[in-house]
Amino acid sequence: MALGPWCWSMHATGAPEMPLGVAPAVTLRGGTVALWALTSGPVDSSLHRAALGAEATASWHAAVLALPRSLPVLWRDLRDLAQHPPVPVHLCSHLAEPGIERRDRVVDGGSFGLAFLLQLASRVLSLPLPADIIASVAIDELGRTSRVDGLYEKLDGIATLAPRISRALVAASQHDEVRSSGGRLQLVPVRTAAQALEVVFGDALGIRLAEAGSDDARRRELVDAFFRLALVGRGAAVDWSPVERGARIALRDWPPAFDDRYRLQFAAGVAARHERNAGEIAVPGPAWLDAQPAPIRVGVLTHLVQQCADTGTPSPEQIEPYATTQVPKDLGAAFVPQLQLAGALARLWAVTGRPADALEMQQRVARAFVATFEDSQVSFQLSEWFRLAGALGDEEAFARAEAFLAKVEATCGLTPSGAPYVQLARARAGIELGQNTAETRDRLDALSRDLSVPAHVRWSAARWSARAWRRAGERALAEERLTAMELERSKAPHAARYLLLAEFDAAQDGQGTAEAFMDRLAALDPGPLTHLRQAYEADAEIVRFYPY
Amino acid sequence: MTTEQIEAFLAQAFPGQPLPGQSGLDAGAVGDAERLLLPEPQVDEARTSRPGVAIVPPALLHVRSDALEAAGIEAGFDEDTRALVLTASAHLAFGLAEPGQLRTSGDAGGTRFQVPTDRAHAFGVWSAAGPLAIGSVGPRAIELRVVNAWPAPPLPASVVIANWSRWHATMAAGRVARGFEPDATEADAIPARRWLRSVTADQRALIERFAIVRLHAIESQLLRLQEGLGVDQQLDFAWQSLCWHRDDVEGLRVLLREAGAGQTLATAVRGVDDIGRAVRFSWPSDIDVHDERLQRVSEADPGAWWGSTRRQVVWL
Repeated sequence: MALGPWCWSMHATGAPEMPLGVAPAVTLRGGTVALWALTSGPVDSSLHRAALGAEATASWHAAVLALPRSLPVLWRDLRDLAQHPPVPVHLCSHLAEPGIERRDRVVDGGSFGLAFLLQLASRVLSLPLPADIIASVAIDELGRTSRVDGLYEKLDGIATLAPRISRALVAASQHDEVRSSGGRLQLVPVRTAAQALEVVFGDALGIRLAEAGSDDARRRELVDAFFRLALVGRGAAVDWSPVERGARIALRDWPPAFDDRYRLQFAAGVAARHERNAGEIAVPGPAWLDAQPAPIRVGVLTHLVQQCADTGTPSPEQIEPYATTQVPKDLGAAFVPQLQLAGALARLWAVTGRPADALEMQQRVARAFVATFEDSQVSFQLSEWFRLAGALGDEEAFARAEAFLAKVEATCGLTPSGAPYVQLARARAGIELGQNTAETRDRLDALSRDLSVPAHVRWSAARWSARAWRRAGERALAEERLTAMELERSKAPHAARYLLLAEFDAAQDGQGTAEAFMDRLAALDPGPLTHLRQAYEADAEIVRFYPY
Repeated sequence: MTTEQIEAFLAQAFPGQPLPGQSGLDAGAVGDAERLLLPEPQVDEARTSRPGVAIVPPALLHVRSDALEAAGIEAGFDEDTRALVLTASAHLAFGLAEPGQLRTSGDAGGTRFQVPTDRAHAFGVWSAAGPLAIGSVGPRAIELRVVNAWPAPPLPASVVIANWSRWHATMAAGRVARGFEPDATEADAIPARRWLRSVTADQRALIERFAIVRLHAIESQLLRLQEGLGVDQQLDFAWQSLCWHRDDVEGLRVLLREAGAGQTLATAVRGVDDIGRAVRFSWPSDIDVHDERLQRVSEADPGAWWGSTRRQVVWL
């Protein structure tokens, strides 16, 4: 009872304050729900402690890796803390069904994942957790949450054992199934560890970050960390919203220094683009760019070109002329960052009325990547190759893409994360080229149901599947897919975009009308639509070259 | 344990009671089995334990047995002696019986017993008025069944639900006797009210004991609410369930009173109702707990704290 206030009566006086580095956690074994305090501090020898099993230890290691990926930046070295996993100290038990209590001497499983991360965060940030919160969520090394077993019984046990706990963090993917089982507990769904940290610490995180900027050396390190994170790419963080928020807090609260300010603005803009296709980044002057090491300069330009394509700012006139000078004419002589910049330029051309140039460039870049044994980089280029071949009705380019894909697959194959994008682009191109086969439709259906691929890929696959079935004369099957999308719309980010496109497709095929379609789409995705509306007049043309 | 084994055991352990199939200990008096898995040594423990991490010797492990709990007996498990430890408060004294050991009324006076689990055997838990529960110890689990050793109440077919336990049927009799059962007529109330006059004093004492135990559970839940301790569901559901339980006890009190019994229960009820009124007095006005049954309670007894929250309690 001295380890934390959770089990104290609401009316009792003298309940302990929440100490630093202590988090509550819950286990279910047999019918026994046990409440534990995860602590790294000294423990009274009269208390029952447990060791961590192999799976729980792996979960701790995942939490150690996930924490720095879930915070905008870290200002304390984790290495020492990570060496010492917390000890679970038994607080109390509840039997969910008739039986004899299982008092574990070894606790195992993945359900401590987020509790481990919160305990570690409490130590690193020197912030105690709120007393009213508990987490029962598994996490992976990237901070993505996943379901735990026995959650219904665990919630029941928490409600009975811990009067002062009123909020339970659960995995977003599990929230629906336990939504009505929370009883008096408020269930808070979290998709990522970053979201959980936001729920748990709220403004306190920002305050700590602002405080960290008062030290010159530390501030410089932190600015470096923001800038590096932004340059690495979308995969560097699972959730970019804390990065954007952190950079904006730093911009607001830290003493101004030109170089620091630009790099923080750059990080905030890139994070906003990754999160919601938004954010503005100013184009730095040539002096700043020339002062950067070449790979950094090219990396910054690549992001600025992508920012231009996806958000509309900076304008193509501001960034394209200088960026083009950084790409060698002979791509065989280009380094990887230069090839990435070339790919970004092609992406910009594809939405600014130059799709044939874009197709040509993406083919060249794809070949250059493979020639330099950078096969893992090729999935974006190949996706665009397929997509633009379909949009342009270029059957020869499609055939070349097929041959190139076969060659890549014969050597080392596509990366698991890149393959779904290529499959989707290939299928949609097939449909646009009139190769609407049963195999294509099945592939799209399978992709739309595959929960392991990103949500926007699944949604785009569902939209193209509906279109393919309708064109194959199977209107009922097309409607079925649209209904499924409609039912799921609240669960996915960007769902409105794909529903709107599906509505437009149906209107094109003579089913209903899509009123004020282009304005609604532009409101959802202003960046690419601004470019496309300048390049094309007809709605059908705009949608044909719209990348999603 | 098979039905035959149960009946043979009860006949052997409680020779003063009517035989199975007769008016008292019929098969319906024995509840469903619950299985309590015995703790096993944790294999992972040795593999993952580290020097310096001392494991505290465990205290008594908590045991949840709905069968024993219904009879007012708490259970724990002693890991050192591997015995089931049964305890009760003094006014709910009980005894243990094993096959072959004759037990007679008045023989039960203990409040703490140990049931060893190192050998397979059957055992019975009894009070001075008769059997309360039976159990058997196997190599991996303990099996327990509650025994409600009194005859089935006279209930109209429209009320009876298949698979009802004797305890559920007895509580239904209380509702029928008070005219609270929507599917029963006024005429059905008469045999229900007279029912307990026809059973033995021991059987009435057993019903009273089970009712008192139920009342203790209500008291404990009321205290949890009063002290701000956790309940496992939303407050409105928790309160509704508590009110229904209190109303069940009220039915049993009426049945016993009609047979000139139940004085101990009546005294206990007064104490619990004091707490119930205190909790109801400070009940948050925005939490509405209302249903047909609670409405009937309020109409029949305006002073009942366990009625609908939409009605004022008349403080008498």
